[in-house]
Amino acid sequence: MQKTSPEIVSTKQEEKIDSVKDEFISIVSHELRTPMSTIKGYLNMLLAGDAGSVSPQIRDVLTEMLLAIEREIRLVNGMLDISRLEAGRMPFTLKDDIDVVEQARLLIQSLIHSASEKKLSLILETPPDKLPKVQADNDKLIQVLINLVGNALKFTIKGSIKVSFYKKDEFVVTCVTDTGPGIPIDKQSHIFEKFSQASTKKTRISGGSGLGLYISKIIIEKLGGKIWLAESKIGAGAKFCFSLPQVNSPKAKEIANQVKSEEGP
Amino acid sequence: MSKVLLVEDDSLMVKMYNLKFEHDGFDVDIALDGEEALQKVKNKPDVIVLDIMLPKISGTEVLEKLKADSSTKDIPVIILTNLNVTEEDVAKTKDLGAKEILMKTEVTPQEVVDKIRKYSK
Repeated sequence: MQKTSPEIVSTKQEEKIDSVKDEFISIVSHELRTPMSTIKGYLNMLLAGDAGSVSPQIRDVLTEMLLAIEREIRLVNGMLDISRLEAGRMPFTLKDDIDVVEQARLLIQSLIHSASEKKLSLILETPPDKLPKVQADNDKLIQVLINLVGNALKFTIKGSIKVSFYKKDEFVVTCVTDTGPGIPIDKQSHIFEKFSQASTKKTRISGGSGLGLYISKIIIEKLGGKIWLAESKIGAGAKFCFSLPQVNSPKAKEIANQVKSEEGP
Repeated sequence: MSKVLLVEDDSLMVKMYNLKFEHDGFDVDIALDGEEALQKVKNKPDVIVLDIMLPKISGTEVLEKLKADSSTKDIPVIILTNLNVTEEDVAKTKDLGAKEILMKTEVTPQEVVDKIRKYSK
């Protein structure tokens, strides 16, 4: 009878370690989210008048509490995403028919209301020529778009946010340009780091977690692209761009192989 | 009065949803784990609100068993979960037979009630 070879044994061990990691992350998600969901649920019920009518002063206090708990939920979500991404336990489902312009259009439609509440224009600049499809994980692409457009909406007090696109080599580049406060030069090289002063200080004021750009960077790089701050000046806004590989390009094939080998059978 | 079976193991969540559902006029039955859920479904609820992470047997297994049984397969099931919900998950639970999959941290109790009303017609 053949003994199991060392390679097979260690694959089994790897699978065991992965399943322990997954279980740990699931349990932590559950335990962290449950009390927060409960608090958020009760606050929503109070604000909806389920426990009787609410005075304006109490309404203000409840609204602040709701903002605080929502911020905590975003922070926990960000940290859970990072745990999973760094542990290699966030599965990527690659599709080869993704139209970035269309995904951005759908997202913008859903955010138009929030933008107009702040009197900001949210514009999709349709490219003059049809751009090729890209290879990406659609949910993760949307997560990156939400992060960039969401950040722009959060930081911009007046003016506009524009999403534009272009093709470069065998990549499709998407850019989000805002007319917000801009990013100081000495902070620019740190904004994609997790929890750096540059990423947390300002975002904390506006209620973010300081983790979005770091998560976006991990996602885009895992998909074979790059993410960068294309331009920014104090008082003159910021332009963030990310690239994704065209379907069937050498980079797309390289990434597809990598993802397949990581995910296993 | 519409009957809701709430399948949830966490006492904080149970109390909150029970309060909301009763407040909004539903008759609420509670199961704290998957086995109890399969028992209590015999009381013929109009809608089942089902958590995925449950002790003993998982919410997914409960859903599979409900759909495999002709006496329970047509009861609408709404999934409430703490785990990240992706496009794939939504497709998978719809394949398994759930009507909706909602994230506890994103959805308000009122939205859950609205969904219950939608599917208990």
